[in-house]
Amino acid sequence: MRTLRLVFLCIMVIAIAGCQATPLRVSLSSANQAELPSPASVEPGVYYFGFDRRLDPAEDVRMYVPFLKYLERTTKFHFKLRPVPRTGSVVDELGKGTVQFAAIGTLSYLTAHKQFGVEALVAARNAEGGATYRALFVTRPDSGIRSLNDLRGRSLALGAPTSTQGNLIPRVMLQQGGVSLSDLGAFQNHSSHFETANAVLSGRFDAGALQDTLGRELARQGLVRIVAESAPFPSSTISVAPGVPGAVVEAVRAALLTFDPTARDKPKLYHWDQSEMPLGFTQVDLQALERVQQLAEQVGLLK
Amino acid sequence: MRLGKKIILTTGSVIVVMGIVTVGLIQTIVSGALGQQLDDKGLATARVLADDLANPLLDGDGLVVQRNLLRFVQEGPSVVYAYAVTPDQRQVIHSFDSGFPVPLLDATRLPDGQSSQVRLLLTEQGRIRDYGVRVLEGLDAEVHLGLTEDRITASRRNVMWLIVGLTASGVAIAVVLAWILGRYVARPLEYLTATAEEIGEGRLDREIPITSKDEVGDLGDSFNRMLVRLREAMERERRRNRELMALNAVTRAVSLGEDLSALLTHALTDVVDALGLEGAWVMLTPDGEDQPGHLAAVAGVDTALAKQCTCTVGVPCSCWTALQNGARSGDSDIGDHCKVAPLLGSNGQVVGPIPLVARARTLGFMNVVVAASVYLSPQDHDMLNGIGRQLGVALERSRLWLQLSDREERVSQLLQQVIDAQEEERRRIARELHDETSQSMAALTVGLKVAASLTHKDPDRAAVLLEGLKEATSLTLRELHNIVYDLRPTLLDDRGLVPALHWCASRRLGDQSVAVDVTAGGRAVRLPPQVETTLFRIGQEAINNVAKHSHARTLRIHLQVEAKRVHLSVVDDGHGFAAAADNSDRGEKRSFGLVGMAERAALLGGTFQINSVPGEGTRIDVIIPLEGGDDPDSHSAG
Repeated sequence: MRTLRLVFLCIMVIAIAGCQATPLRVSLSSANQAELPSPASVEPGVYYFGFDRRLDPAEDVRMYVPFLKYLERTTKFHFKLRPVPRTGSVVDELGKGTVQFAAIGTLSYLTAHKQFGVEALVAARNAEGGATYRALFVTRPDSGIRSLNDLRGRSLALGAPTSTQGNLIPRVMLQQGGVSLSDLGAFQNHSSHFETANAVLSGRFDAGALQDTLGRELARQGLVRIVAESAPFPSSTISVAPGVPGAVVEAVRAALLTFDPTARDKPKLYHWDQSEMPLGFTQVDLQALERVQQLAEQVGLLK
Repeated sequence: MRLGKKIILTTGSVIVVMGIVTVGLIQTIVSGALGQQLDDKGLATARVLADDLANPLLDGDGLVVQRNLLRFVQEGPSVVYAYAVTPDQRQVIHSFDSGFPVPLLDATRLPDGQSSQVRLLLTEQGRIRDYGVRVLEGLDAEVHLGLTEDRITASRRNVMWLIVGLTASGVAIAVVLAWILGRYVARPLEYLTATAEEIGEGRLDREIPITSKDEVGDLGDSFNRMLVRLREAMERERRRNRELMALNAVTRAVSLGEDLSALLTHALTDVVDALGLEGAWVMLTPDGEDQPGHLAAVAGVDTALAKQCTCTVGVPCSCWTALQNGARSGDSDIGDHCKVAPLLGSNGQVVGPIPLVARARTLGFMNVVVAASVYLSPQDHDMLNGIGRQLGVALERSRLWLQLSDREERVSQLLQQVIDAQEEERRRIARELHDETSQSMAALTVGLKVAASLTHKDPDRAAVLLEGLKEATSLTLRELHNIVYDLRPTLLDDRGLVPALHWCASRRLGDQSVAVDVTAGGRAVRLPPQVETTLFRIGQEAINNVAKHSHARTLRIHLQVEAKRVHLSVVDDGHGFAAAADNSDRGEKRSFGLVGMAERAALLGGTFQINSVPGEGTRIDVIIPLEGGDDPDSHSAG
């Protein structure tokens, strides 16, 4: 009888108690300020990586996170991604030291180099192995625009003001083609190449200036037609802020030069082919950068 | 506790316990499932929210983020709060009206390297599940949603009440069903129990009706079969008991040592009582005769009625006829033939004949009267036949006992007669020695004295006197010789039985003018000494009887010796006598002599037979068996 009672009690306890987790007691009424208690701007032993906004911000983050993991695996240093708000600037972050490494376009590099002494580690490698890329003018396939001259009186979508392919090179091309911004019916800078492309595809703008890789892909799909193509310009760089230990710099440089996004490292990357360095990296052509610096200064994008 | 109540209580208890266990388990399962569902939904929602907030957060559009969070909280009925941590971790954008509770951040912050997390919080607003996800993998930005468990609690409560209601209904239904089942199961068992109790009290006539083919029916059937076997066993036991009682009665009656009639009456009375019979009677055959005899004992039946059995008057009745044909009790129905049976009318029936057998010899039979309504089974008839055998043995023993007693008495009388004969013989010898030999010796002594005195005085007269004494001495010697010869004739030892018998008859009957003829036949051999002595003494006694009582004119003695026996016959033509009716003193003395002759023959395993009819003489036949009669070394018969 005692055994039966014990069994019954056990069954009751099991049945009633079940297997529930213990809750954590928290008061929601203890209101405090929303600001976090002064977090450190940088964590020790962590190198922050910034980038020029190119596509959708979230897509940019998804693309760069696997890239940083590659760097961590290769260099054994710890990296964190630090996206810059739309109102912020990677160049400023590099200057403040909150970002140590950054994937930035030529114009941003020239600005950061000039203002904060940022140095280019490697440049984006093109199909020929060089460190150049191009910019394209594209329209919708049914557009009557056939050349840069046809842009007169039409609306043009440009990239971010700091974008080399979306702003610097197109501005240089327009200048060299004898078309000033005032000749255009309208123009507007967009935060990324994606937004520029969307502006054209949606019909809001008659033409747009895009990075060559994205423009060619859209043309291949029949979504746009290429109107003009620029001469080769120094491609985007991975730059490093001053003050980063040389061993870290050299380790990162070596890792970047051995980065193989088209074959070996491709499976672990996320749409890296839509980045400005789809084929990996090569040595920086400093002379070419100096030439571009002059052009930028000529069009007023670099002071 | 009754079986029905046990079934109800057991079933109810099991269902209650199972209901409680089910409630607990289902509550746990439902809670787990709802919790898991809520977790899945919460995490999915948090991820959707994180995706929506990714770009504003990355763009630094805090207002957009906050509007989205507030909208989310307002539109989600279960959402208690939502907050997001900016990628630089410097700011928390939230939906709280009165500021962000910092402890919540400490409690719910995602650990490094973890992309999502569910934390269960106990707040003043109840139990809340916090779902935290990273906005994008690799970023420190987080989005958190707080969902209340009210819906889970409400669902769990509803399920619990539903199950409690179902369990209560189940218990009620189960109790009713258990009650019905209990009645269905227990009722036959109760009836079975009651019947078993009645049977236990001795009512073996009860039987359990089989109303179903289930286990209870099987049990009842087994019980009935057990009951039948019990009845059979008890019947066997009763029959055996009755048989033992009857046999015990017979044995007790036999051990009483009464005379035959009293023994039979006593035993019969006990048997009738033991077996519950109406009555019984016993018919005995005469000793050594194979024919109906006399009514020896009656019990429970009017003696006059029993005497209607024709056997009592020496006429074979149907019982006797059946018995002679080897019938036993139960073999045939004698009621139609027995003259007693019709006289009983409806009061009873006659069962028999039950043979009283001993040593393969039928000593009589027993008929019993039982009630007309009683059926006797073969076992009953076996028992009656067994009792008949027992009675037969007892009867035989009793008869043998009587014979033994009679024989002992006769032996005693014979011994007394022998002693008397010895004394008589001694007296005769003494008288003869005194009357004849002593007188002769005295006369010789006187004559010798006279002769001695005359020797010198008158030698001639002395010589004559001595001559006369010489003759007197010879006469005395002859007298002495006769006396010695009477004791045991040397002729028997020297020349055998026939000359000795001839001498004895001639000497004893010579002066009575009885013609004696002693002859011998068969083998001419000498018989063993003890056989010759026995036959001589029997013949001597017979000769003495002839000399004393028969007044016969002739006596013929014949000895016939064969290979395995010797036959001595003594035949006279005297007055004869009626052996059974001669109770006179003389006849008694002669009877003792006859007994002595018979005893002598019996000592050697022989037979003695006397046939005598008044006026027609007497014949005695003695037959003695011989052992080794063919022995060639045997003496000649003389």
